[in-house]
Amino acid sequence: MNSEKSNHLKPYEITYIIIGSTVGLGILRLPNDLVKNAYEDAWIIAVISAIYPMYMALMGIYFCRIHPNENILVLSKKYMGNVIGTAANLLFLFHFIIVTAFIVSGFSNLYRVYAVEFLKPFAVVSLELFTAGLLVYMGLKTIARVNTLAFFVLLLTLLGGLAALRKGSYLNLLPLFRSSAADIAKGMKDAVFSYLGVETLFLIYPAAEKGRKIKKSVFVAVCIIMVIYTMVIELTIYYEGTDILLKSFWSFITVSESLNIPIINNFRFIFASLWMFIAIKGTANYFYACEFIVRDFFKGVKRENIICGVYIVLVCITMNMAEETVRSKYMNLLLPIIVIFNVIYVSVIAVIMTLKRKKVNEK
Amino acid sequence: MKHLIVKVIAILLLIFFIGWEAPKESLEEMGIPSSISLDIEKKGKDEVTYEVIYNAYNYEEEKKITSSTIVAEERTVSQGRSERQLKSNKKFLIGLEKVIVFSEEYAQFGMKTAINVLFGNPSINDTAFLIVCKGQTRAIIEHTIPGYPSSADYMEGMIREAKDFNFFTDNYKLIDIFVRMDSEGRSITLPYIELKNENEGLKITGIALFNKDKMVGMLPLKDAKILNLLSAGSGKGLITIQESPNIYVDYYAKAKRKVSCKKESNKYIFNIDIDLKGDIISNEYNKNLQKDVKVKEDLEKNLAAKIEEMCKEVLKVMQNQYKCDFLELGRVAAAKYGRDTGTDWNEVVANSIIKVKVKAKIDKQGRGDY
Repeated sequence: MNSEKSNHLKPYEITYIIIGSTVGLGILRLPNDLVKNAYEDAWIIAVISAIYPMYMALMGIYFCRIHPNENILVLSKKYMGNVIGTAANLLFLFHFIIVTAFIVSGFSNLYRVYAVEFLKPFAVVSLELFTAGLLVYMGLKTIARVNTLAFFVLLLTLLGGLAALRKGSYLNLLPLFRSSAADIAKGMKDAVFSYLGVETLFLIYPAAEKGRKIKKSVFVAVCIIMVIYTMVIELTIYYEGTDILLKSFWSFITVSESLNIPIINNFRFIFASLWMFIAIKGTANYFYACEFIVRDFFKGVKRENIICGVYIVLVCITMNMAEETVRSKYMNLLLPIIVIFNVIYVSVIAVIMTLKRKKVNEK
Repeated sequence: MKHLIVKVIAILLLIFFIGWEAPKESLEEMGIPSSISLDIEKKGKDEVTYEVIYNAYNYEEEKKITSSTIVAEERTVSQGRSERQLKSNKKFLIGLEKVIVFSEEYAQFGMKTAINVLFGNPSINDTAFLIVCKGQTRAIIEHTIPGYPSSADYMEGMIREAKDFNFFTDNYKLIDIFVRMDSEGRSITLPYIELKNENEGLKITGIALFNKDKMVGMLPLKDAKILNLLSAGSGKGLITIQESPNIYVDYYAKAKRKVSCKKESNKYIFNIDIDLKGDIISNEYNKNLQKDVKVKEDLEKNLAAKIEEMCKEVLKVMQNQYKCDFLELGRVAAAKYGRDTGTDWNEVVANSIIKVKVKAKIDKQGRGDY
């Protein structure tokens, strides 16, 4: 069952895992977050904010080139010392747990409005995490396959959104460049949540097929994410206009429901099931990352037990911030810290690594 | 493996027992509204009572479907639900309603309260048509039409097919209202339905004109037709040019509009180009139309000039009488000169110069000329 050791990740699977960890249900409210500050220029934010995943991707490639067999947890202990390294790893785990909780609570809030209003939040949260947990138990290779499939499901739902092209107007996209640099900077803060996810690369690159460069697959992933985000924002503004877009909490749903095909008079449940697939694979990726780091702390404990432990912790944390206003309060508070921590954590390791390598070379 | 499956099933069962309150009703026990409608009664200065009218299907034996109406009177639109449940024996399942009818009085009061409730509810049918009716909404909803379970089913067809004549647009769906109502430089027009008396039945007698969410007036069909023609996304329509009872031309055309905007010394100038392309339905004007290019060109010019004249008249009414922008011209200007600048586009359009240029093209002339 646990076949990840014999099966290495193919280059395209790395691409899909990165896309899968980044693009989730957040895409449905991404236009809201960006339009709020920059109006018609929201797409500029989407393009500029890609600096963060690009930086992370560059670092990941650098790590992989120098230590192709050691993940970031080992490297941080190696270069920052055992104590600081472990503490940093613990914070890195904390980041994954928090983001998982954000993803799952977002899923629960959306689905309890749009599809399953008869379910209590606990049922939605625990069932989603349970499904993700099963995927995690089946191993990295299974997760990679699910991500591959989910990418095409994502494309399918985005294609449905293209139907909005018939109805909207290019007038909604004009005028260009009316927001100031300050607005765009403010918008970038809100865009960050959507671009979290490349961090999983630091954990999975040792599992990549040997002798293959991951450079291309990582860059392709970041570019695809950027294109998808820009497209979603432009489509939503094109269809609804910036004034109306802000009135709905998940503005892209209206766009994806603009598809009108005879016989099927309501696409909501078709889309709901497709989006569920996308949400669960994102949760599974993050769940896997949590489990991976915890496994690094408790070597020798059975995997099932670790998964159960992480599952209980995740359910508890998610249930405490499932409500939308509480969730957005925590998101505003924690996300900037998380991003700053990630950048520092990765950069410090990279700098020390470079310095030590120079010393070795000089000797 | 077996062990795992048992565990999985046990946990799934547990979660379902804790978290699920399953809906149990069958279709016959559900109240499925064909329409949700609103009327208003003003009591004194600051007090209004909403009359929320739910018309729901009854599924009877032998596949017969009828409908019944429940009227709830409450102080807010959503409170109507609690009053409704006091009178109804069914659980309501929304999402299949065909039309949403507002009375003229309510539309004049401002339909924001209802639109807000409808927008917040994710299970509402976004493709239901919005209609404004004359007089009491209740009379129209309770009006029975043989062969139809409710008048709502009939009205849905009326609005849907209206775009084949009189240049009605198909922008009367709930979702179209959502994207227009608070958007800068945009405006709403809705079909206006009248029930004159029981024998004559329902009829679309014009369009209701809105400034944001408030109805400001009603254009009778003659002018409404031209205003529809000038609006974006208009359908097809029949235009007659008549010199005397025996000399006339009927022109059935589809319109396409283009709007451009210029600003000259603080005055906006809008150019509306309308391209008409259509068929001659009946020609009692010149029998050489099929043979002579010059006659055809003359007729095309004549048609264009006549239609231009009609347009100018309606624009005059719009600019002078209503002082509102029903043609979404402000939207074009906003896209060019910037949004959120505090400009009142209604005022701008009312004081601007609007130039209309019509081009009419004759495409086909039928199978012959008798």
